[in-house]
Amino acid sequence: MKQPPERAARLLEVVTSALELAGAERRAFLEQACAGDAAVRAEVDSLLGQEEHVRDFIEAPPGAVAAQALGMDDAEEAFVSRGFGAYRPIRELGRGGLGTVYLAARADDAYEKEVALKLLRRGLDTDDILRRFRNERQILARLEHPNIARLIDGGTSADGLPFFVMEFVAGEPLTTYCANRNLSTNEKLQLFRIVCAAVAYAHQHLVIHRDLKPSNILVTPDGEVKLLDFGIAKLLGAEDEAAFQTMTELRVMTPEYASPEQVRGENITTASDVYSLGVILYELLTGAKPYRLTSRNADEISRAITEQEPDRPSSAATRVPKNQQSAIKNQKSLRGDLDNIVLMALRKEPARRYASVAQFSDDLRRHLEGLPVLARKGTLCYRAGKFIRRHRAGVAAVALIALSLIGGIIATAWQAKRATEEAKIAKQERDRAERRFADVRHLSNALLFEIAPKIERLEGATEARRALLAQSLKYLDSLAGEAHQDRALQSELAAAYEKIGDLQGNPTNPNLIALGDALASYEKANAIRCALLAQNPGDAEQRRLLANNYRSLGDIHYQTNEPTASLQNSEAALRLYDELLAAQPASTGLRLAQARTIHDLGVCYSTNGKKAESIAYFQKTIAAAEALRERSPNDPAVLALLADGHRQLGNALSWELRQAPAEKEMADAVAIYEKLVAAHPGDIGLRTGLYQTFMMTSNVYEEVNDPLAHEYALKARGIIERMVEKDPANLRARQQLAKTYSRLGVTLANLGQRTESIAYLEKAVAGLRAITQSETRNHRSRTISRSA
Amino acid sequence: MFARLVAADPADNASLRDLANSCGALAQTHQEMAAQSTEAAASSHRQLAQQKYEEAIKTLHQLEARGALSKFDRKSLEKMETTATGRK
Repeated sequence: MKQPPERAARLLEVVTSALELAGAERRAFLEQACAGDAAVRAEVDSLLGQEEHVRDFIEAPPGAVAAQALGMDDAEEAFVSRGFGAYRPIRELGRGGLGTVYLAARADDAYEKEVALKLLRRGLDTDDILRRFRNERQILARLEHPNIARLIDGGTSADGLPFFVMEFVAGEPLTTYCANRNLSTNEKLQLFRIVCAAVAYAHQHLVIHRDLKPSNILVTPDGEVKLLDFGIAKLLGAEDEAAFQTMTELRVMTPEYASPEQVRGENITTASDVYSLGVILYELLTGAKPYRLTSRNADEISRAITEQEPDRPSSAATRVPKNQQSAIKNQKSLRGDLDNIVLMALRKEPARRYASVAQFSDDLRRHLEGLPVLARKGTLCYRAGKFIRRHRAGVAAVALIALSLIGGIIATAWQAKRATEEAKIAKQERDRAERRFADVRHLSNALLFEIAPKIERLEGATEARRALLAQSLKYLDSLAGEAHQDRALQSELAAAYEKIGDLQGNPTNPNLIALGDALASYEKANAIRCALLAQNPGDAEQRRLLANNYRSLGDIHYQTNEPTASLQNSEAALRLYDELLAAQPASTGLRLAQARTIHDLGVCYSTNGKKAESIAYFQKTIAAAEALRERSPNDPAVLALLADGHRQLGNALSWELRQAPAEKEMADAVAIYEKLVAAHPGDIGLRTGLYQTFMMTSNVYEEVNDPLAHEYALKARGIIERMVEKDPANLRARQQLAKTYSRLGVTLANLGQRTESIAYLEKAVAGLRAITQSETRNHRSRTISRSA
Repeated sequence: MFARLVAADPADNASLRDLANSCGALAQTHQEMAAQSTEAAASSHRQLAQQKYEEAIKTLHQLEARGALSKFDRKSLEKMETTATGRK
């Protein structure tokens, strides 16, 4: 509903000012501002009530919530049931300058029950933003820290608007939390250091927040700190400076926490986050903002940030009325170290601030422990004073003896020297960590999230996969030795080894048939994942990844004709999936993985000659896949599993001489795969599935000397010849082509066409000899290269 | 290192098994053709059948050396060895 302009402006003014205040201070202001106008007060309260629920990363400048609710801006489209992929919005939580936040849930209840779904408003769906969004969201999603609200997912809605899905956090902004609980200075500092640890973690992953402010730092009623919206600002930024400045204007960001370089539109670095944290700490300790402003005029704020020197926190604290909730009890405690620490973080020149958030936090630790801080130049008096304060009793005793005084001074100097050395070592370690993570990120981006998915199932891409493999191993060689206790890096290494294992030997993709190497890669990853899970048994994601790893190991052992090892690994995978599903029974992904593992177990039993057991497993596979199909009728993975179940069941029935049901199962498998390939003509994995189904169907008909055996072998040949033609380097396809020729030779012989049969069989033998002889040659070259 | 990476793997027992099976099938087909041919042609087919049986047997022994001979492979090996020996 539109408001009369004057009234709307008045409401906006009051709400804007009130949003600047908290607690009792806000209440006092509202009493005064709305005096005598109950209607205005009611509307203001209502609008502020909305603000209370907004936990949005795209927070509007104070007043924007009110402005939108008043209909002064173009209203965002009314919430309707837009398509958000797997997410189902439940209700609107709030609106900000850049969009709307909804409380949402996974439509399939697979993961968190409740998430925050943040929909960007129309106008921000530019090609540039969408492109950056796609590139970065995977990286951001991998920020796993207990104090960082995870970016769970992202995408574009059915009507083309980008949206983020974040962990939903029910908490209060940091400043409000501290004020409401009347925390002491030390308690605030300890809480603030948790914030610093989370920011430092993100910096190690080369992610800068860029928009740190109290409303982005929530504290739950249990005292758990959660930082929101890491890297979101970067997503919304543009790559070049000019564009970034434009975006800065577009974002209408809350400027009080912006660094001078942000205001000037200069390069943003981790030092920008150090500055914003400095502002937050200033506000936390004093109850006031660093600059004295007479208005919210953007120019005045910019000038203050870039030119004005902030008051010392101990002075600023005296300006805050004693009855204000955020006023501190002991202003004197800010004098000295805390003044210096905060002001060092707030220096205008990024190079003169703390070198890192970790260093900033470390200085706060030094202050808390009574050690000399880096923010204060270490005069002898200062250091000695620190020492005496820490060792009052001892100093009082030794003060009687002059010699002891000298000892005290030496000890103080040693403490200071050690502090400097520690800071230097810490910086070196941080630099090294950043280099390592830069390498890992490069690897992860290049291998896992950019190149591999694009070429994994692409015809003709074996050479590219080979180059990718060489590059990846180069990275891993340089990184593996440095992982040590770094859980995040270890997890990334495990994922990289698994991806390499896939390229070396995953049977569902084209591969290099390097099965021994693939096994080694999966086993390396397995060792890492087992250790990670042992350290944190409650880590469901690690459990899932370990289950996937066991499945891969089962596959490889199956290919290398080690049925017992294959069975053991598949059973280990199944146990883990069962455990996970007990906790997340509605997860489609887990259910699919479980069903796939049941299928694999059936294949193991079948290979071991235990046909009755294998039949039971394949029947279970089909039942599970049918149940999944009811939920996801068009999911190719589900349909492929269903077809595989029918195919394997048909084959097992044929071995049991139950020909008619075997043929029926094969017909079902063929029908499903043919539809899948028609719907996804570029998917080499599905085409391979159809090929395998044709080959196995040919086998089934051969059991009864049916000429259809030859027909299906010809169909298989049609598929595999095309695959070899498109990608001659795909050894797996060449092997399959030779095998197909062999099958044609056999079926033709059964038809009495022996001359044609011999021609095919000769082709098969020639092809297989070439593969196995190159294998022998390469085995020799491996031996030589190892001995060299 | 690159050669190592691009190499087909010695653990690729499937290719060896397929080779053995193909040689066996080829040998059997030559044997069948020998039975239906003139004596001159039959001799040639028998000779080719013998060669292919030997190649198949050799390949299966390679698999055996790798510890990768399945029950089915062993049956094939025994059958072919009997046939090949009988033919000598």
